[in-house]
Amino acid sequence: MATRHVSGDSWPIEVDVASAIAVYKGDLMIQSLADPQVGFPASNMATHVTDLATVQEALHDAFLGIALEDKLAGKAKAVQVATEGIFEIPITAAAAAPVGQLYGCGNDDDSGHTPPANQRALAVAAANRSFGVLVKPTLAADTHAHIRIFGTKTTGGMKTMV
Amino acid sequence: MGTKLLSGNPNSIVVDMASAVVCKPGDAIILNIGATSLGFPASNMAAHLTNLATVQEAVHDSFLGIALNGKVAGRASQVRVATEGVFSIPIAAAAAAPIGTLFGLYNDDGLHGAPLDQLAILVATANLAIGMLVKPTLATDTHAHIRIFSTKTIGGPQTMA
Repeated sequence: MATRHVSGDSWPIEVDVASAIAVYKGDLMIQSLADPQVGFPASNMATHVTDLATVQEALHDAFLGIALEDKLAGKAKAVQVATEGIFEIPITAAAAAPVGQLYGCGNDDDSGHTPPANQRALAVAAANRSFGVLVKPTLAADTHAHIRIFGTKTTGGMKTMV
Repeated sequence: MGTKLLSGNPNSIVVDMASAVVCKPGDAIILNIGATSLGFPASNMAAHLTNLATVQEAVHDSFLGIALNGKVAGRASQVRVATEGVFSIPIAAAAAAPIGTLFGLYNDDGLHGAPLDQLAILVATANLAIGMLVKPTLATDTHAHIRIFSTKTIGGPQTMA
């Protein structure tokens, strides 16, 4: 099952997306570095940099939120994007994790420098690589996690305690 | 057209104001740092400091939020103030700006005049800002959609980790 909104005010914004790009409901959305007036799903990230950690940080730095609706390729249309809220997101490498665990994006092999996956999360160690925080403990067998997201561009992103 | 609430939970608070102060819906409200702990519209700021940046930082440091109702002079009363929410706010010096651009208050001369209660301009750093742009602006726009963050109740706009 794909990413879905579970609860909480989503603080939605409208994001312009280039006509050629398809968006699926639940996709992680990032702001274009080349043209910050538009956004696109994370898998369209142009630079895949050197390793998963830098891919995760690049996504964090440009993170807008999670798409609340679909857009067909070939159709010019703005997409509603949730900048906050609790989402159920598919996870890989599940492990027992407590409330407060940080999550960032995964990618094809969850190790190299391929583009991020649009609807998958992976536990991370630092806020500068995360897009949200776990709000319900996970078990080792879980395939999804309940994650509270924070759009970096409109809220400053996930914070650590002082 | 002045500032108006567009969307989002405003997490409103009630702020006491001095009898002589006039407040209009949409005014940016700051906390009096003096002994009285009253709030007032930003244009009543006592010290106008040395330049626009220091005026903007002073507003940021004491920013409570945006007034949701008004108050006439000569009446001691309380004003309900939104500490969060997305607002349409008139802007000075419009330019094409993307989502995430920081905005602070502007004043009447771009120098050290008192801030205007309902006029924003883009700023470079979070310590000068009252909120972030949530809808891209064009060079011809007269208003911007800005998500505000009260400094006094939630720490103001934050920069990313």
